[in-house]
Amino acid sequence: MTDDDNLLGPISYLVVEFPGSKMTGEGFPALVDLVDRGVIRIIDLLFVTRDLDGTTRAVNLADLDGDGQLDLAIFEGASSGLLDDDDLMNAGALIEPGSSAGVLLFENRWAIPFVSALRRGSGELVAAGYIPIDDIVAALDAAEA
Amino acid sequence: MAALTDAKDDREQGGEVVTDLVEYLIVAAPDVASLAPVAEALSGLVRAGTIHLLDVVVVVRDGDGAVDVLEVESLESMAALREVEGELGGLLSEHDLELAAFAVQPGSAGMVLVTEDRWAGPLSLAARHAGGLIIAGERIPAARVEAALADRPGDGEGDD
Repeated sequence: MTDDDNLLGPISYLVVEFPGSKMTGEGFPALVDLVDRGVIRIIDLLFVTRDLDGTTRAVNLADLDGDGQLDLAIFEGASSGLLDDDDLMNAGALIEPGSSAGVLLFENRWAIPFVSALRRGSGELVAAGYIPIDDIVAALDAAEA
Repeated sequence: MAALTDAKDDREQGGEVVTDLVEYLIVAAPDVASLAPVAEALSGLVRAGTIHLLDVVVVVRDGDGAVDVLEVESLESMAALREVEGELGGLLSEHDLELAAFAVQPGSAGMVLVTEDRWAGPLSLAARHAGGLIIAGERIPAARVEAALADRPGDGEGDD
């Protein structure tokens, strides 16, 4: 046991779009593995779908493939309420009509040593963010040129 | 769109950058020496395969606010990072660093990082195999998380 056990890792969200709403559940074993290994902790996992007319609505986990044999059942409790309907609808607005998206709110447990080190050095994380893919591609091209 | 397609192809190759999850981080500390524990923690995360460091630069602001940009190689407190820094570098432009320096108070030091979240690789791959793609993501400021936790189970009346 160390003091690190009591620290909260940075919280992030990710939106994963599934074009045509074809969600096979293939990503769930990967997600379970990350949780099992203590890399992340899932705070909320919600799904939103955008109808062809552009209307967005929340989707229940159990409706995803309808065979009643969902691995997803283990995530049924992964709803803290931190991610609310407004957040879900905002995520829905990002996707194409006819697509669905998963919205994952999670704690970056892997970053605890980083958070702990910041405290030891009286440091502070003053800004952070994911970098859009187009920007990365452009920067990589520029760096290689 | 061509660039996007190329990037997707690159990401299928093991050693390439998984561009779905690249983050920038700006850390502020009282001085350069205070950044040493952070450098050690980052080094540990890289050696564990959790992240890759794509670029790291240290900025120092003097009392007048003037900014000095220092390379990791020249700093004793950054020694832990020398062996693990990725080969890319050069991702941060001068303009990026100028902007980052604004987040650092005059008379203190900062560290600007570009990291790739290697830990998320399996998730990213699985999503892609299913035809999905990570389209958005964000770190949520700690103050907002704390406010939301304090507000539970209401629906978050925090004003920021």
